[in-house]
Amino acid sequence: MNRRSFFAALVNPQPAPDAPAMTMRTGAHGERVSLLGYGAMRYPTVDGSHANNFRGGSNAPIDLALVQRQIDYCIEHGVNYFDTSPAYCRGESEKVLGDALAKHPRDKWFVATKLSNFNPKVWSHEASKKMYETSLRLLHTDHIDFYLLHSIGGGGKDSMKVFNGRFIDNGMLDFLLKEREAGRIRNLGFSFHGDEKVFRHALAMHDKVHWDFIQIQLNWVDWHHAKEVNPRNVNAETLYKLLDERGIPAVIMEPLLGGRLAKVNERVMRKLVPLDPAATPAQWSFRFAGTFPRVLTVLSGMTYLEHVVDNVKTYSPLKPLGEREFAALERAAAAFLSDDSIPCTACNYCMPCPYGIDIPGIFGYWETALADDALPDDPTDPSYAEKRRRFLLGYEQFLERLRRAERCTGCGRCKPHCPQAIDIPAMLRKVDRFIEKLRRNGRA
Amino acid sequence: METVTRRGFIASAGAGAAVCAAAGAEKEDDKLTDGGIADVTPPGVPERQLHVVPPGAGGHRNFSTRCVGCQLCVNACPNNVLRPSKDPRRVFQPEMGFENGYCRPECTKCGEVCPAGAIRRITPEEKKTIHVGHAVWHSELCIAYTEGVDCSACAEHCPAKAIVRVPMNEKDKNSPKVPVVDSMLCIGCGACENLCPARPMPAMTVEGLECHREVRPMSGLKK
Ligand code: SF4
Ligand code: SF4
Repeated sequence: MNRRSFFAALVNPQPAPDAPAMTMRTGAHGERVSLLGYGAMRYPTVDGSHANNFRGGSNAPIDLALVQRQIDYCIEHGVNYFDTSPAYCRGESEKVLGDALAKHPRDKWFVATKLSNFNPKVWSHEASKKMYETSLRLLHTDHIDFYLLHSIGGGGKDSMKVFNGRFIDNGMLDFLLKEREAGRIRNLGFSFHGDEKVFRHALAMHDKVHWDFIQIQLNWVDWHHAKEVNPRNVNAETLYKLLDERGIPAVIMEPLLGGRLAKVNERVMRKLVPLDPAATPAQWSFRFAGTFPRVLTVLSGMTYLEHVVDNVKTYSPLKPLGEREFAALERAAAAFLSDDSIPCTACNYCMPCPYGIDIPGIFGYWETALADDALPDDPTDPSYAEKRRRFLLGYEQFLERLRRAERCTGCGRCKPHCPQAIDIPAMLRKVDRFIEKLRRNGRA
Repeated sequence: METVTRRGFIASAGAGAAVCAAAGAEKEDDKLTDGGIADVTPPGVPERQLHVVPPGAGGHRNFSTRCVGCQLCVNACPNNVLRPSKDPRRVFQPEMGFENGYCRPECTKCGEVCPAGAIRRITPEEKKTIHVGHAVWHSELCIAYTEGVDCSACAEHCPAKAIVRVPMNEKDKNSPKVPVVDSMLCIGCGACENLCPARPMPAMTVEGLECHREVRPMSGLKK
């Protein structure tokens, strides 16, 4: 063993020969897919900042060496599903993933990418087809294992028109079906956020289209409470059951709500600790998503190797949740929800704001304070003064002066991009008014 | 046959929608990918006809006769508003600028430290009623006026509620709104100048008042 490989083994150990194997699930055509999927949406950046850490938006380049290590570790430990999109990470996700995967034999990995033709400028057949062909090229492959119509259900009240415009009228769905016939797409599906009408419409096409899989947002909060968070959302239970009835494999996104469910929240932990004092919130969440038998894989946008290591462990093998544990999570979900919550998953779809506002950074700061019971919202609380001081100081340290909520113009350009249907300018204003009140309420 | 017709119908309906969606967008959106963060530049520093001195100073005459240029207030200002003047006639005497912050309503620090009586001690309540300047709108810079952006940065943050947004088309209340400053209410704190997104210069800039004065007591009610 030379020095280099010694260190490599130290930081990136091969699984011990007798290590328990990752739980596998079976896809529509018999493919054996790992229950953990790698989401290439939250890559580490060289400056260490990333929304996944509630550090907000960044322009820093992706840390390619770290990404390579994660991908290597994944493949060595049985993870074989890798999910990307032409839109992720300022458009760099596919290339970075393609280059990293190219170091491994093609039969070791499945790749999923998407038709992310959100902008009406690329609704045309030519532009959309070009997006698909670019994906093949960047991923260095002659076939895509899982191809998705990206995020159907968006577009507010025009959601049906947007669906038709992006996939039907331009003949793209027909084209993709032909590509599937030709074997260049192995599984065709869609991901969904937003308007239930569109979901049901697409599902009704199943007899004709035969969706091989469908990607939905599922976690222990959205299972029963998505509607409470936002009336425009659909409870994950409803979505999962619709897929289960039709026998369509479900790919799961946001098992951790962009990291919000990985954070220790005392109100939540009170319900969970009695059952399993040593389990981390992330482990609870992954076990929840993996327990459903129709789930093919659970995607996680893992920014750092330790996330990969942890999640691999949780699924090697999966210990399904029992009824008591489900009930505890249900109670935890009720405790998690707060009227003050801003359900941002730090997906960065809204970014960049043309005026430089760090949208996910601001919402992340707010949510962290809420989860830590550190929001100074009650002047009669004996610790109000201390909370106020810390909250204001943290806000000023954490967010650059020119990127804070007070500088949102209210132009509304970000709003249609949010898959969680957050009224972003209104929520920024809410945070800003809260802070303004704090500032005035006492001497600076 | 029936399917063909239906499909054709849906297709044409969809094409119509595409046109509407594009035309409905306020401003052409070039966004194709996610993530990243836009560059930001701090607001520019405008030339002022009359400089601004802090509330409690009474006005230019009192301030310039009494101020000894000790810089205590400059150091005390937590909002980075006060700085020594570059004007040779007022050398070392402080004046206000708003590119780093604005004169916040809860702050009365400068009056507390001034040893020379140039800035009187005032309460935050009093401060609300003292005019030290007034905001001037520069339409050619305002993104609401030039680009039709639904921007409410100045109006939202004016602590005196002195800025009203008025639609430009009388018959259409959803038409682009421009900010109108009520100089009876504006106290000259610089919030609008500081928070205006227009570059290289803010579209709202503060002009100083030679003699500070009190706002009509009525406006205190408007809060
Ligand atoms: S509404 Fe605010 S956050 Fe959204 S794009 Fe406009 S300025 Fe940025
Ligand atoms: S699009 Fe919505 S969920 Fe995603 S980062 Fe922006 S505000 Fe958060």
